[in-house]
Amino acid sequence: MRGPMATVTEEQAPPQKWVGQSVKPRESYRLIQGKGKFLDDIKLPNMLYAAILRSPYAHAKIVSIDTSKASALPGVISIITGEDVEKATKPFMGVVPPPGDKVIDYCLAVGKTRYAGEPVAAVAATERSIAEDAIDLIEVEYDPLPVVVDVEKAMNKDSTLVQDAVGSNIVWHKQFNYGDYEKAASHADTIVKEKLHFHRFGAAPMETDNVLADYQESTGLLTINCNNQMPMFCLALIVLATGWDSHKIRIITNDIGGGFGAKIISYTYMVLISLLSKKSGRPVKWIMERRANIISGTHANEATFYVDIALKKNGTILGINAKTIHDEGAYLRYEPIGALLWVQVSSGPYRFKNLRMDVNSVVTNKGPVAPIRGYGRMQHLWMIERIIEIAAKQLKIDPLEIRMKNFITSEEMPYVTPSGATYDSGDYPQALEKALEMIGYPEWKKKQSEYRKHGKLIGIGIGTGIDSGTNNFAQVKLISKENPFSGQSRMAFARMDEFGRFQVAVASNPHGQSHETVVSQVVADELGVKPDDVFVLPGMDSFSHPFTGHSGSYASQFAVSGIEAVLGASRKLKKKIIEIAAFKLGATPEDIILKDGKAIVQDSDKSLEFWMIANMAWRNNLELPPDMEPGLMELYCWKGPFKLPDEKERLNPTLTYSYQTHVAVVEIDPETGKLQILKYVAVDDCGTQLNPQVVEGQVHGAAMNGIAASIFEECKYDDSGQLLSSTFMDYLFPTAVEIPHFQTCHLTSPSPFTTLGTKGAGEGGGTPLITISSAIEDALAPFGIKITDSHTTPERIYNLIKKSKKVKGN
Amino acid sequence: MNFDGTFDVKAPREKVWGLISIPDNMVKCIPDLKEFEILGEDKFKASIKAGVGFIRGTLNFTFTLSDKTPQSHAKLSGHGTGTGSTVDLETIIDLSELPDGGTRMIWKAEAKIGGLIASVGQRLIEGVAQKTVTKLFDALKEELEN
Amino acid sequence: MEKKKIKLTINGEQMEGEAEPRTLLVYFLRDVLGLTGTHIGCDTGHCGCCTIIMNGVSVKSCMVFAFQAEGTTITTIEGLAQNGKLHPIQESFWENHGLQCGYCTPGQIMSASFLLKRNPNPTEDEIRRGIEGNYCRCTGYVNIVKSIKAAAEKMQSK
Repeated sequence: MRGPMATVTEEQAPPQKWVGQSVKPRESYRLIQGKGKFLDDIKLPNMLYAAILRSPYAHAKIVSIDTSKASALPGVISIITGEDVEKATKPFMGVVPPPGDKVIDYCLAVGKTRYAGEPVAAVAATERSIAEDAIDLIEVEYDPLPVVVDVEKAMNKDSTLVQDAVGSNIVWHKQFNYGDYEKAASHADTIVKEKLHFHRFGAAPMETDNVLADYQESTGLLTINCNNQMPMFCLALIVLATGWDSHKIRIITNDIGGGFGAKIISYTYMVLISLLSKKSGRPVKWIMERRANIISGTHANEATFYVDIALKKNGTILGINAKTIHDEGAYLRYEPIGALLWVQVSSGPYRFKNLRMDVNSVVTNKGPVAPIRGYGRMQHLWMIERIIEIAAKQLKIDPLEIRMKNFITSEEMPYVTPSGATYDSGDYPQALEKALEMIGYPEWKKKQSEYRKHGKLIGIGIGTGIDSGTNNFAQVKLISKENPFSGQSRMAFARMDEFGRFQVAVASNPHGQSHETVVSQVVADELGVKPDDVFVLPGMDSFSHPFTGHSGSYASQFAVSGIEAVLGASRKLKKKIIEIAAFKLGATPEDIILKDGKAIVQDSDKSLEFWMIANMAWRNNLELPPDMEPGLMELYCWKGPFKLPDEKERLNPTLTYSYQTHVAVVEIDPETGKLQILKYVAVDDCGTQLNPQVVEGQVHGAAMNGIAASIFEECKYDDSGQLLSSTFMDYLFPTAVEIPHFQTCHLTSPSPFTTLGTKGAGEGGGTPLITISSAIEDALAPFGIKITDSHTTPERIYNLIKKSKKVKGN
Repeated sequence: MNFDGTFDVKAPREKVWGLISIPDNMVKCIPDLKEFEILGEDKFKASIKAGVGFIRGTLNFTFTLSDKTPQSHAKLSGHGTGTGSTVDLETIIDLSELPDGGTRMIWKAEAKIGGLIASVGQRLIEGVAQKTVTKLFDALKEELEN
Repeated sequence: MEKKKIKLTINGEQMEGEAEPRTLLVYFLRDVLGLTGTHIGCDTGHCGCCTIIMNGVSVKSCMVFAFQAEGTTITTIEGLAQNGKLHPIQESFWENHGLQCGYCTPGQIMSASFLLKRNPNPTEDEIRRGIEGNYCRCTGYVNIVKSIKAAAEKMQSK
């Protein structure tokens, strides 16, 4: 399956021998032996350890900082406070237009602290324990200020300001009018209104953010070893804030213990620890402790929706009108991109053409928000599915029927949604039917009505989530036309060494997605070799791995952008190999195929082994075709086939649209609110699968994330802005006991827009959150309870039941 | 967190006032006191052994008395730091005579807790606070009635 | 704080190093002895990334002081493979995609080894309970359970 934006050559894809196979990930070999190279495994000579002092107040002026006692502790080498940071750096750049561009964001609190847990000072010492002892000796005098934790109150004109220079806590506000909602509403038979809330939870990867910075004054080289997911993108933010020599910065990542989008905002620490290294004249390593990670490294977008849905009485959706309020925390980082990203999935999997969105991005005294798995889309998709189900119940329409009626069908693909987001391919009705078949829907429906007679609460939940991937950065121009970002790109090289073996590199900062393996499969098919003949450079080193300002692993796209770059480089290499072989063998390039490590003239016994070709290119170039440049190393940069927004602010913000449909059966204990998942089915479609086992692993992981967020995890703040769930004692991380077995099934709707028909996947679209909310509402139907909050713990369920019994006078 | 209470003691008002309005007298009734320093007529420092669950260490407080109406009203403000936490306390105390010659103390306290104790120990704070309050009033009673 | 010498047997070898009384065993293993296969994933003893076998029992090495390990016999992830040959549990995790980022994996494998020693033929429920103290954020546990089941079968047939 080829698309219009194929790579350099026009030839057909070769036979797929390795692509599509569940090849064992080569990365796993070192990881199962504990021989991975995670950041804390690295030790450099003369290395110091850093510890960070964090603010106990959610909002306070910093009156004074006395570091004298800490400095006097033997082993303490250097200390940095906000005063030093203000002198050495400018505030980090954001993407928001005035007045939001006045948001102040430094790597340490400057002048005042805006969330409990914000870094206030940093110490480098000869040992971890000494650095931690030292931060206890730093005396900070705070002048507490009123705390802003209610995001709607924060919007009031008389609210205390979190970011004073902005003049308001609403740092960005924009209305989007796609289609004509007013007209749609006037034609509607019903308009259903609801207030919905998507709660705050975090990613909490098992490895936290870590940085090892090494500034060498003798060469001017700053080496930052880190585990950021897209450090080459962050380089721009770092250099703009610090003014450091960009060409003398080397960034390295090795094995990374999970990311999920959390490890995208650690650029502030990359700057902070580099400052410590510069001040100390020695390498400095910093490991973020788990509590700091939950407080300040990992929150997903929290959103409140006031939503209206206009429908015909037969269930046809005419349009949606929503006011959204995003609680961004105290600093923006990449926000308000998360408040905007609904444009990628504007009408969800549904056919309505009218969408009005009033988007508000509001700061509060909470930890900063990061682009967590499902970023901005899962909130919007959850909102759409919730309002549709609530409306369906009001109209007394079966939830399956309303979905089937409004689903975009595969015949309508590619389908342009109201925002311009163009879904490439997919069959939502088929996926839902498959999921219902796998769960045994009719049998469960029967059981449900029987159980209800005995007061047993069983619910069947449905959810379809779209995992839009391979993003077009021009989407940020919808926030501000001045934002200097657009398109998408990835760069890779493919090299045949002089023995006919291959090396490939692409700067993807993998963290569990088996990129080394998947790339070797793709290249092996292109070049007619085995995956083992292709060494994919592990990790990322900006001095050896080609990168662009877009490089990294985020926004569900490696199977597209990374692979297209690798394909492009491999095909350029293949072209040259074939040209050399053709010359040597007296044939034409069209007659030559690459197979089993040889260039073979078809229908003849003439062939050349790769090492012979390589020898000519690397050591024996007088045998090459005249005018041919020696060497067999090709660089390729893939450019995403994107456009800028049009005058109606429409654009295609993502190239590919994977999707998942989940169905779950839950049982709720009416006495305790406790929820048990009896059966869980996940159907996914990410187009052509490069490695089915890798894809399935992602589906499992995303399912677990979503279920855990629904019924366990919450970043809960009290009125003074203290995060009450700051360790695993209170932040309820799911274990193997709570998470059920998942039954999975894969469908394949190849993308017409990518060379191999692949689609980016991995985030999962937040489908489980949709499904669990739906299942719980179904289980509690006898009480007439509506689920309007994405967090449904046993306690909340219990309280909902109690409240409804009071209302009913039971 | 908010606390309040009524504390009746078999001692005349002047004696009670004498205890609570003079730092030198009051400080010794503070439970788990490690050391103290009188800074002035109405100001003193106190280091208190702190323990909320497994968070153990020392909280260093500075207390200030203000709003004094002799024999009847006073405000005690305290700011403490330690164990990566902060505690800000404000207590209003009102005294009145009881018919049997004793004294009634009506007190209202507001405590703002931040940092480690607030985020990790929040389920345990109330219990610890109640215990501390009980110990404090037992000590006051002991001092006043004997 | 003054450092004291600690002597113990790790992966069949006599080892020694110095640590303060307050140093946790996991830091002693990683920073002092250079055995970085055992990982740290939290600060409250929940995640299990630090799981090792100490005197025959699975232990979270972040919940033990280094000096408490004096004279003990410890197996870490580095000690599972013998003579360059992977342990059946390791092989099984590899074959069944029981890991993605690999950070929790040493802890999962050590817990699995302890589980299978006590219960060579566990049910799915028993496996899930056996790794209840080992958090994973990537796999959703499905393939971890599958790997342990397959390892149990492999080890039983030997």
